[in-house]
Amino acid sequence: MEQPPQPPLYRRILLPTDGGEASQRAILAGVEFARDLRADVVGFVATPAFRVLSTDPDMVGHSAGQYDDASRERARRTLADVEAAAHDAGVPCLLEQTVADNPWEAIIETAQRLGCDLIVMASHGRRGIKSLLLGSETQKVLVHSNIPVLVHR
Amino acid sequence: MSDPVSTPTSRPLYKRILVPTDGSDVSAAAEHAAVEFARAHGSEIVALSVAQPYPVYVAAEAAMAVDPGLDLEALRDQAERNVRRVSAAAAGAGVACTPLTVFSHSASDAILDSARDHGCDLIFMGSHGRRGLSRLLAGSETQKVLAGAEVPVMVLRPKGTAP
Repeated sequence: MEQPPQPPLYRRILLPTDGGEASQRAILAGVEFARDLRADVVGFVATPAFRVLSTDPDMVGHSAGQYDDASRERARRTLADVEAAAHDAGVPCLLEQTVADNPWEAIIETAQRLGCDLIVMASHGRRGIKSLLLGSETQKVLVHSNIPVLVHR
Repeated sequence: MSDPVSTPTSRPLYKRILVPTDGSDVSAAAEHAAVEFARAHGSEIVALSVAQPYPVYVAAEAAMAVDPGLDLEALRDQAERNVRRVSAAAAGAGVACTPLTVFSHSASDAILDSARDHGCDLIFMGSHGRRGLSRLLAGSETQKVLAGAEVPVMVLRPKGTAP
């Protein structure tokens, strides 16, 4: 059967990451997929805003300024990992970083703003209970995103 | 090769895609996307419909009037109809499709088992906003598939549905 020419399914893939192990694996898978599709990728980190009352060790005992520096530095390292993976695979790569109280909202907003047509992310985050639950941010992205989400374990 | 999608790679990253269906519109959107994806990538599809027998809690008198065989047959017929919809779409796109109908009380278990048994390396599912993923995949079942799957899961929300 004669098929009409199809536009590429996915041209730009958002790779949100929290720097955790699960995210790292999702990034590698996302980059490999992008190479197959000849798509480009956007590495993305959403850093929570500083709070005086927090259980995050980066916030406890630090001033807002120290926290900002520490989280910016961690985001930079995390995004450097995405850049390296994309570079190794020959996949064009953009890097984005934002401060947001709700990472899931920032993920969806960034995907829309940068014209991503697929989000590839891990099923759980750094603090997630592995294999038992879906991470809360992933869950919220799934519920609210109009863009398909490829969830990796 | 300016258009990578119209030229399937010889060895696609995702070779066999499990497509669970419950016959709903939400499922239909995921089925359509899966067939498009499979055609573009040269993957094949395993279409799965889970026939879920109802747990029967009825008074003894009423139970006597129920023919459980008839009920199971109707469930299987419906499941086979659901799967045929996917097979037809796949055939139309020139995509190989294995139809699968299983009886199970747990949709998530059936999905995870089928993915494993048939060597699927990707699962396509439709989501349905805040109400949970489609009826088949509602609430905790979805969590179980996403948390329990050994392979990636593509989750799609049909266009036009509000969260």
